[in-house]
Amino acid sequence: MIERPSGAAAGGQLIAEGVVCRYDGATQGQAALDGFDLTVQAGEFVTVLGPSGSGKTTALRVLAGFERVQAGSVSIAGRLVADARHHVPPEQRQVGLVFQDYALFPHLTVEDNVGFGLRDLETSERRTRLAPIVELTGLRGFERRYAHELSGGQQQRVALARSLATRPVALLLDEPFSNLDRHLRSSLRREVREIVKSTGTTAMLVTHDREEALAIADRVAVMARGRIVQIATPESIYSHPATPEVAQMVGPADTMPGMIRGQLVATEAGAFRFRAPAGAVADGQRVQAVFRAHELEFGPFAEGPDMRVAYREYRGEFTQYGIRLPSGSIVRVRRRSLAPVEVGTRVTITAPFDRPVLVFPA
Amino acid sequence: MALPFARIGRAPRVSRPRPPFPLVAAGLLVGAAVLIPVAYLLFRAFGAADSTLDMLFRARSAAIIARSLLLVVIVTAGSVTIAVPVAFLATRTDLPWRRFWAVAIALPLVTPSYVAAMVAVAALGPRGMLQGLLDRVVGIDRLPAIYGLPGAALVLVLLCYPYVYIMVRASLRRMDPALEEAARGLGYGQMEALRRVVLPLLRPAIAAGALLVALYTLSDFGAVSLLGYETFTWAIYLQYETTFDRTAASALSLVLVVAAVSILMLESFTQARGRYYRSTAGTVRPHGVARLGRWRWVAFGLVGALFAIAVVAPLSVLAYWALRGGVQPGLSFPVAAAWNSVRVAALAAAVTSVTAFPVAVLAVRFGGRLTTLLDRASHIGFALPGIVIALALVFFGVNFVTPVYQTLALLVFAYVVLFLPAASGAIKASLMQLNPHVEEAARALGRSEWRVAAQVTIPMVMPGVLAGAAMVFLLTMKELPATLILAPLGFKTLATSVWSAASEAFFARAALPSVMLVAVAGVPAAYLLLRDAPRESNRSSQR
Repeated sequence: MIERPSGAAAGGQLIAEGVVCRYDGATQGQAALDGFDLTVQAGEFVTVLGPSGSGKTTALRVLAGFERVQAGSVSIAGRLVADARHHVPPEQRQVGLVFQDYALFPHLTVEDNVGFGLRDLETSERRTRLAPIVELTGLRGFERRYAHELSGGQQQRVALARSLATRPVALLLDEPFSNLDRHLRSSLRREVREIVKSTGTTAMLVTHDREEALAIADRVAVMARGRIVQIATPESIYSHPATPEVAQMVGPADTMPGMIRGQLVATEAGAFRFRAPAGAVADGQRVQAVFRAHELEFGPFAEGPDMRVAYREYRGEFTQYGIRLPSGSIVRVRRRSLAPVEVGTRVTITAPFDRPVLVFPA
Repeated sequence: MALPFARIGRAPRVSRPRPPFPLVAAGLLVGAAVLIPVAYLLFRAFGAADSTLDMLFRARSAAIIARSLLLVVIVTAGSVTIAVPVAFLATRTDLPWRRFWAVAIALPLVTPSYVAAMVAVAALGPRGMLQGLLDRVVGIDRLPAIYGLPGAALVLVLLCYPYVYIMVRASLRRMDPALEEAARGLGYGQMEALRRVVLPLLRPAIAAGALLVALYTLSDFGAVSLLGYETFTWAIYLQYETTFDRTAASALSLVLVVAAVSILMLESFTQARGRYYRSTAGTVRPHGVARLGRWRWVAFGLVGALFAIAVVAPLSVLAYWALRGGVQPGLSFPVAAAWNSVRVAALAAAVTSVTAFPVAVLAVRFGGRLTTLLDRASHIGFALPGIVIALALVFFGVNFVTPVYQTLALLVFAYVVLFLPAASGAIKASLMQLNPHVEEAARALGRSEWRVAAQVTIPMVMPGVLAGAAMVFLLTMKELPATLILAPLGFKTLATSVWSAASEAFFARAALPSVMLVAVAGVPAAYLLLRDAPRESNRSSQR
C-alpha cells in the first residue's frame, strides 16, 4: 500500500484530499467532513480552528485512523493510508495523539506511560530513549508517579512525552489545553510549541480557541461545515481573511451589509474607509462589511444615524461597548478604559485612518 | 428543629456540619442492632473457649475448611473465566442480539441456589432425566456422580458468573475510549490494546465481582446441602439440627466468619497503587464496536450455549416437573407458602429500607469517624453468611428475648441484618448523584428545610430507595438458611417448601413452588436489570 497519491504536494507530511466522512446512521444531512483538503508540510505546526460542529475533531480522527473515509484520500509521510477502499488501522500509521483529557493509562507510572509505545525495545535502550524526552518535557523526578498524583499541566506533559517518545511521523493534538486554567494554558502552549519544534515533529492541533490557534501555529486553517475555508500564517489570516466568516473566527467582529460609494463603504452605521482583502470591489457593488471590535472608535456626537450605547462591559485593560444601530443590531466596540460612556448616550462610530473596515463581495 | 435529610449539603471541606441528633440516634440504634449477632457469637465462642479450641482442631474441621476453600476457588475462577469474555462480547463487539444478551445473560441471578441444585439433581442425577434419555437412546445406565464437588461447583458457577459479568460490563461501559485510542495511536493492535490496557483496567471490576462470588459461595447453603457437599454452612446446620450443639456450631461459625473476613481483606490487598478512574468528567463518548467478522456467529453460538445451559435448560426442567406435578393428585398449589413468602419479603424490604436511610444519609452527607464506623458495621450482613446470623439469633432469642423467639419479628430482624448493605448501597448511590447545589437552589428559592426534603430530596432519592427495596425483596424471597432456622413453627415459605421437598427428592412437589419463586422474584429482578440496562446508541460504527 506504499504508493504516492497523485497530486500530492512534495514534502507534504500530512495530506488530506477531498475527504468525505459521514458517520453511520447520518445518511441524510451534512457529512462531518465534506471535501476536506489539508496539507501539512514536514516539521510544520498547523492549527485547525473551527467552532464546535465544524468537523475539526473528525478531521483529526480521520488522520489518526479512528474514522473511515467515504471519499477522498489521506496520506501520511508519502504513504496512502486511507481512501474509500483502503484503511490502514491507527496502530500502523505512526502518528502521535494528544487528547483533551490526556488519556493517561491510570494503571501505569509516568515512566511506563511514556515508554508505552516503545515496547519492542530492550530495557536499557528504552531507558536511553526515554531519558531525553522525560528531560525535555520537564518530567524528571516524576517517573515513578501515577497519573492521578500529577497536576493537570503535568499530566498533559506526560501525554505529550508519551506520543513523542515513539518519534511519530506526525503529532495530532485534540484541544490539548482546554482542561487547563487560563494562566497555565498560555505558558504550556508556548512550551509545547518549543518541544515540538525542537524535535522537528510535524504537528496538527485542533482547537476552538482563536488565541491559542494564532499563538502556537506556523499556519492556521479555519474550518467550517466540514471543510477548510482558508489556511495561512497567523498574521496573514488575520489581516487578509478570505471571508467574513474567517474574519469573525480569528477576532471579535460584527458584519453588516453595505455598498461601495467611491472611496467609502456606506452602511447603516455610516460611511467608512475600507480595505478588500479578498479581491477588488467596484463602485456601487453590494458588500459585506466586517467591523472589528478593537479597530473601531466612537465619540459622543449627535449627528448621522441614531446610534446609542446599549451596554457596557468593563474588562480591565479595555471596555467593550455594544452600540445599537437604527435597525436594532449591535456593533461591538472595544475602547481603552478611560472615561466611561453611559448607556443610552448617542454616539457616532468611526474607523481610524490606518484601520479601514474590511469588505467582502456580497 | 432539624430534620434528618433536610440539613443535607455535601460536607464542605473546611468544617463538617454536625449531623442532627435524631439522625445520629437512629444511626447508632441501627449500628448497635446489627452488631448483636456477631457480639453474641463472640461471647459464646469465648465463653466456652476450651471446647471451642478443641472443636477447631479436630481433623473434621480441617476437612471442612479445605472443602469450602476448594469450592470457593473453583467457583470464583470458573465465574471469572465465563463472565469476562461474555461481558466483552456483549458490550464491545457486533455480536448479534447484543441488547438482548446484555440483560438475558444476567438472569441466573434470580435463581435461588437450592432451586438450581434441585434442577441439577433432577436432570443430571443418578436416575435423572439425562440418564433416562441416554438409557433409552444409547443404553447408558450410569452417569458420573452429580453429588459432591462437581455438582456443587457446576451449579454455583452457573449461578455466580452474573456477579462478575455485571461488574465487568459496567466497567467496560464507563471506561474512557480515549485510553484504547491512545494505545492504538502508539502502535498497538486491537487485541494488544485489549490485553495491555483494557484488561488491566478491568482488574478492580473483576476483583469486586470475584469477591461477591467468593462470599456467595462461602455462605451458600442451598446448593451444598442438596448436593451433599459438606462445607461450613452444611456442617453448621447438621451440627445444629442433629445435636443442637451450640458450642460446636458457634465455633464453626466463627471460622466461617474468619474465612469471609479474610476474603474481604484479600480483595483490598489486590488493589494496586495506580488509580482506576475515568479521566474526564461529563459525558462518555460511545465506544467503538469491534467487528468480529466471521467469528460473529461463533461468538453468538457460545453466548447462546451459555444462555441455554444457565437459563433455558433449568427453566425447561422446572416446567417439565411442574407439569408432571400438576397432573398428580394430592399436589395442590402452594398458596399459603407463596403468600408467606411475599408477605415476609415485603415486610423485610420496607423495614430494611427505613433502617438503611439514616445510615446512608449519614455516610454520604456527614463524614466523620463515627459515621464511617457505622457504615462499616452496617456491612456486616455482607460478610456474614445467613446461617451464622440465624444461629446467633436463635441462641440470642432463646436466652435473652424469649418472647420474640419463634416470631416473624426475629426473622425479619435477621433479614434486616443480612440485607442492610444492599438497601443502603442503593440509597447511597442515588444520594451521591444528587448534587447538593440542587437542594441549596431550592432553599435559596424560599423553600423551608422540610419542603426541600419533601419536594426535592425525597423525590430524587426515591429511585434509589425503590431499587434497594426491590433488591431486599428479591434476596429475602431467595433466602433459605435463616428462614429455615428462624421461621416460626408451621410458617412455610416457597423457599423452605422447595428445599424440604427437594431434599427428599420429591421433584414434582418441589417444582411448583420453584416456578412460583422464580416468577415472583423475577418481578423485582426485571425492575433492577431494566433500570440499568444499557441505552446503546444506534450507531454501530467505530466512533
